[in-house]
Amino acid sequence: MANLIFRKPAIKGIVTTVGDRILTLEDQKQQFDFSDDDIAKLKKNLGIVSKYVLSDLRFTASDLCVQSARQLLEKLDVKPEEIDAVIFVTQTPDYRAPSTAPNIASRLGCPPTTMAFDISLGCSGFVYGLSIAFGLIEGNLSKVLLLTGDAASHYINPGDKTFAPLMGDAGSAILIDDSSKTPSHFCLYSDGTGSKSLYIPGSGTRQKESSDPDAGFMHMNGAEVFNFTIKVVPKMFDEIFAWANTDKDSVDYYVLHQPNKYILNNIKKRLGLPDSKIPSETQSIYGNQNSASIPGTVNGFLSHQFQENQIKSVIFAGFGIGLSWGACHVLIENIYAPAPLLFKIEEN
Amino acid sequence: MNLKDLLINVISTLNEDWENEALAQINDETNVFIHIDSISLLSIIIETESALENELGRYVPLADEKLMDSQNSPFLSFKDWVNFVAEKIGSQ
Repeated sequence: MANLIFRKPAIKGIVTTVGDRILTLEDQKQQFDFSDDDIAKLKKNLGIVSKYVLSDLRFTASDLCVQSARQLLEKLDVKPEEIDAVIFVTQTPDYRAPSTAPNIASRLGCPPTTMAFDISLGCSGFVYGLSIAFGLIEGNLSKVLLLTGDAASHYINPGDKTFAPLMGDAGSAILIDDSSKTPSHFCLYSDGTGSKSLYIPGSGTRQKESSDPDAGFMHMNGAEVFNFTIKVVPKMFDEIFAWANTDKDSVDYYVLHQPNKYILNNIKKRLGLPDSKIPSETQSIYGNQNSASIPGTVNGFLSHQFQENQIKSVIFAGFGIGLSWGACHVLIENIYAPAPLLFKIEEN
Repeated sequence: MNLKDLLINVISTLNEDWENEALAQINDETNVFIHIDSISLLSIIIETESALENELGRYVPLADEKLMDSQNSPFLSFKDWVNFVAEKIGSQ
């Protein structure tokens, strides 16, 4: 059982950069041959309105994260040489090899004494990445920069009308230090029997040669993912409440991965939560931001609340590709969490 | 509340937009699953939850790992769907 507890780590700031191009469902009508009825169904049932994507696919998830990180470090007055570790959580690295994180660390000005590595995870990636960052702090590092992000535009089939309209591009940067006085609790899970519910067949070494022209695109079995979510998420909440010795009413905010409006509404109603405790509009506006969806929701919809001088009890929960899922309970007080930044193209 | 009528009414109302001939006349053996896509199934779930909440004054979550399972979905026959919803109401 992967239940973890940490006592020293604290989140000091969260910044998210979103793609610079806004596409509404109506903008995509011709591309996907949507009827008016298709658009009405997607809006009503899944809550989709628009998505923010990169306008220029020379740029990647690492570029989105670097922009977030620069703003975060500048506003928190942290110098790159103070960063002990850089972790990049993504399903869209710059290259299959090597890891992207060392290059990001160098771009940010971190010295060779900074450890840097990638983690390959998507929807659960923020919670998993946070647990690793917290573990490094517990292991005596002082400052860890966690980057979570994906540019799904690089792997979506432009003709896939069931998947492409859902996905946005975003990259977040989160600074963690050793200033906490209160414990944080994590519960983490995985189930590889569902590994092909969401996967890119031609993305690794298992299927190098393929006659399928779509092998390089993400494939999703929506029904399997839906069933998985309904099965595991409610149970996960029971377990994180028990592990953190808290209950649903003592938690101020539930910041969840944002797959669609129905799933979030279902969780909200099962737990009996008011709308104000569980923001659910991220995917509607920005698209599914993968590993950046939880920090993206903080920046998009809880920016004001997370910057107040008042301790908040927060549960973060991610679930999806892998299959992989996890939740954590942390206390948040007055962190730097501005509204999302729009990606600015900078030619090097 | 006549549950069967309520569930027929939900699907029939949605089908006014879908115009799916296979769902024009629903009987116990109607296989809803094979005639619509997963987003339309989600529409039925959402509209049924909403209709039940209006009728019963409480939320009855219907989402279940069986719903979109091609082998075991209660949508494979309308009769099973009625029984499935009745069980959910009874267990909440």
